[in-house]
Amino acid sequence: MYPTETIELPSKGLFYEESNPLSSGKVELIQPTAKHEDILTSRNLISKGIVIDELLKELLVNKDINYDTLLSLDKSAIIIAARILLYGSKYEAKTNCSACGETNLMEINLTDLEVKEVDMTSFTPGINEFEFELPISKSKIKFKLLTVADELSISKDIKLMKKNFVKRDAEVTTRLSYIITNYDGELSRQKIKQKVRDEMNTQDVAAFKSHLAKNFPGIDDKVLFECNFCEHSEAITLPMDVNFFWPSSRE
Amino acid sequence: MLTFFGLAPENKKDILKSVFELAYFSKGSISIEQAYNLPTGYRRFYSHLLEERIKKENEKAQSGVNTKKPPLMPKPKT
Repeated sequence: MYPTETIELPSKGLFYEESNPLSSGKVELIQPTAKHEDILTSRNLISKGIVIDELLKELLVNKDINYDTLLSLDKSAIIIAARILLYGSKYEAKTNCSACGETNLMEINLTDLEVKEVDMTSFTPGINEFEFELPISKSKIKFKLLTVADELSISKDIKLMKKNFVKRDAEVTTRLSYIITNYDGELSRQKIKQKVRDEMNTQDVAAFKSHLAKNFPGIDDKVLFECNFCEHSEAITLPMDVNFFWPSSRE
Repeated sequence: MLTFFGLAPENKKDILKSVFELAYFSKGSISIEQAYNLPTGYRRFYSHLLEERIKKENEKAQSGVNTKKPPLMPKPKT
């Protein structure tokens, strides 16, 4: 048996119920083998959009973990850890410069990515529900951090909407209707969705997103981009493309 | 949902090829099954090691060929 790797979750396990093994704030991963690479080649899983979930489930040592309860922010950290375990920390991504438009090959060391530093003392252990007042409409909302199961439901809803030719901005509304659990006392998802659509203006949405980004943990996925063709440099979100799980220059 | 993640069918061939090569060039020290079940990091490491060794052996063999004295030509009959 090969040694396992222990990954610290960005949430530190704080938002999980005490009975959930994820509340320990750590997960143990087995070292991936060709069997796990085989999962990544499954056309069936790729087309369903669950290939990464199946891989991560296989890698978890503790099979008592209910994968559906994993928070998305923790899942991102496990994805990066799995990539490092599979193919090392060097990641080459193609990125277009926002100034000159040229395609650059960025070399990123995935071990340099860090967890955002946020004040965790304000959170109550075991509680995944928070309050926020929207600055413009002054509406009071309660919201939660999304889990893998929520993401799956959102994805299904969006797929259905696309089939029915619903406008693209409905994706944002759908996502927010899952995050927000209480909108001025309203608890029904359909009604919350309606309120988000009709009452939550763009400034409120931006303020809420900014609140989430600033005050909640997660992987800080900002990397420094320096264009090789012009002088331009900026902090960009870690570009994740097809090469993320199949590096072109495998070490 | 990130549907672009995953590997192409040709990548599967590459995975199996690397498993086979490790088993083949290890001259029986590692079976195909063992190579398949090796953590990918270990597989890469052993493959590198084997590749380097084979390169060195080839270079050694090559230099041996080059330094060999040319065969003596039979003297022409007078």
